[in-house]
Amino acid sequence: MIRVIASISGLVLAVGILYALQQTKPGYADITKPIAVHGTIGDRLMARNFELTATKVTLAQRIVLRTGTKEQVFETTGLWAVVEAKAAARHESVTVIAASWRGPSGSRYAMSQRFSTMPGLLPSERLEPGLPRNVLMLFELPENQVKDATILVSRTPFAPIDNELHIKANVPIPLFVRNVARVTRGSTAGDWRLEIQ
Amino acid sequence: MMATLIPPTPKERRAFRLNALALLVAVPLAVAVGSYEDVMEWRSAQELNAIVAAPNKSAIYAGAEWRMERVHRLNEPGSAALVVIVEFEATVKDPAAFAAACNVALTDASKRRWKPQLLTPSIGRRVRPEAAERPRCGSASLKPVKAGDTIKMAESFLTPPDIGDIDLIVSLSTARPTYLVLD
Amino acid sequence: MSGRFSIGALGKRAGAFIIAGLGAALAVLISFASAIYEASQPKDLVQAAAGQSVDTGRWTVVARRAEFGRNVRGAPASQQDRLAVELELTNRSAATSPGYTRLLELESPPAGLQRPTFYLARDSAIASGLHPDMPERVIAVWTWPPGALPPQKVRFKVTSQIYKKRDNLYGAPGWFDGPTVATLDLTIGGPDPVAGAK
Repeated sequence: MIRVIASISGLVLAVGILYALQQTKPGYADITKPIAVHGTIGDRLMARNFELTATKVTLAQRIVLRTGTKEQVFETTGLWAVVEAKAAARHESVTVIAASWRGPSGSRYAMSQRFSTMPGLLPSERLEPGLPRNVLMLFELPENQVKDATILVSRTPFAPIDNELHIKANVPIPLFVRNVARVTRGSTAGDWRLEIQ
Repeated sequence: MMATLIPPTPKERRAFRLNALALLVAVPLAVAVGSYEDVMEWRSAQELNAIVAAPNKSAIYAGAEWRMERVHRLNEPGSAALVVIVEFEATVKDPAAFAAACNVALTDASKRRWKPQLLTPSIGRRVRPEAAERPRCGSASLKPVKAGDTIKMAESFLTPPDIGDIDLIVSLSTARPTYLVLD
Repeated sequence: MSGRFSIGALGKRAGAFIIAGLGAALAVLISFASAIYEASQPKDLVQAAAGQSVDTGRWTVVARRAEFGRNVRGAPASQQDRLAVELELTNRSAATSPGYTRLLELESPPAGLQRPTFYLARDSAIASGLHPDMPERVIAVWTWPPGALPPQKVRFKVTSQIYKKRDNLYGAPGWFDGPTVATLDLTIGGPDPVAGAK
């Protein structure tokens, strides 16, 4: 009788331990997740192969791309977050193509892909070592995702065991939403300037 | 409840030990055989041993004789960057080895590497139009080449203005992990 | 070699095998029977029309109108006949995604029909990733094969996408194509019920 109880309780214990192991096992996404580098607006953050300083976050209702006298207007159902930054490569020329805005709900808003020809966007700029350059990141998001947000920047969208910058956005409340963020193309290739109205 | 086990004979015991020892050899062997191709592929993508061509000297690399011709350092007004244009040439001896994917980079004493620009920056096209018309290293081998041809190539780079003494690094997929440094 | 086990132990072993075999047979029988039962009781598909919201798991889909011809509203002009369907899509997942291109499938497509191209209704640009919780109107455009009959009414199958916390290959979380959850009937040139309500 005692032996039967012992073997049954042994079985129950084994099942319990196996279940606990199964439930607490880190998933594939946890094992391969990028290594975070934390900071805030104004911090010079170092990733493995690039460095970036986010300098300013501006909210706007629409984005306008001006080429010569022609203007192209980009509207949204939410609002635009315009993030200005200075970025450079560290050891070797590199292109940084992934950035997203993580709102308070944990949702990730990837950099907008609606601008095919806009100059100065982070993913279209080749970064060189020792040559910091001004870049823009443009996000389209609902108003309730603006506060307590983090800007995530990494070299590629799936960056296992590479660095990912986690930049606290710290947008002041109440929100100050500007009317227009206008990017004007300069006279030489790749030259641009940003005006806020 | 339990099946009664008969103790193993000395012969069985010896066979067990032999097999356990054989595993120590078989497992590393299996890993080595299984990863051989991957290791070789990794190796052929690396730049491990250098062939250095001293200034004004040529060097044999990847079926050709390579020589640095000129380096131009150009300041575009209103830009913080320095445009570096490197002109170099290769006299082909073995067209099969020369016609390969080409990697080029500029480096200085700090060991940082600048990759070439896809298009020659506008100041380069103004100041050295003949360099801007030359093929880049990767595109030079797109056209058929014969033994004895001398291919004149140029690459342009964007670097910080304070860059020091520069070297051009060239590596062809047919010759990696060996690479060429033009001083 | 003499036997590893005594005769008595062998008998016990045989008993264990028989019990395990019976258990396995029972498990096979139950799973087989439940599969047959599920197949014999097909879930009723939602029958949606223009203006009705369909929950597909990852996306909420509202079809607004269907159009056929060379010039369709919201898409760049073309020399070929095209079927255009205006949809309002809402991404219910936690990340920006371009994974809405396989949501709608014609039930009886003409031979040689290619996958649709999606345009943003707001500026006729090619649509890319849509952001979480931001409803967006897109136009799905199928280029109609030359010679195929122009449709009067179209019926689509609406495919769901389901979330798996751990996929079968890597154990990675992700969204996967699920079963068809609805059929969608649209009349070419029919009124836009959402615009009509406003």
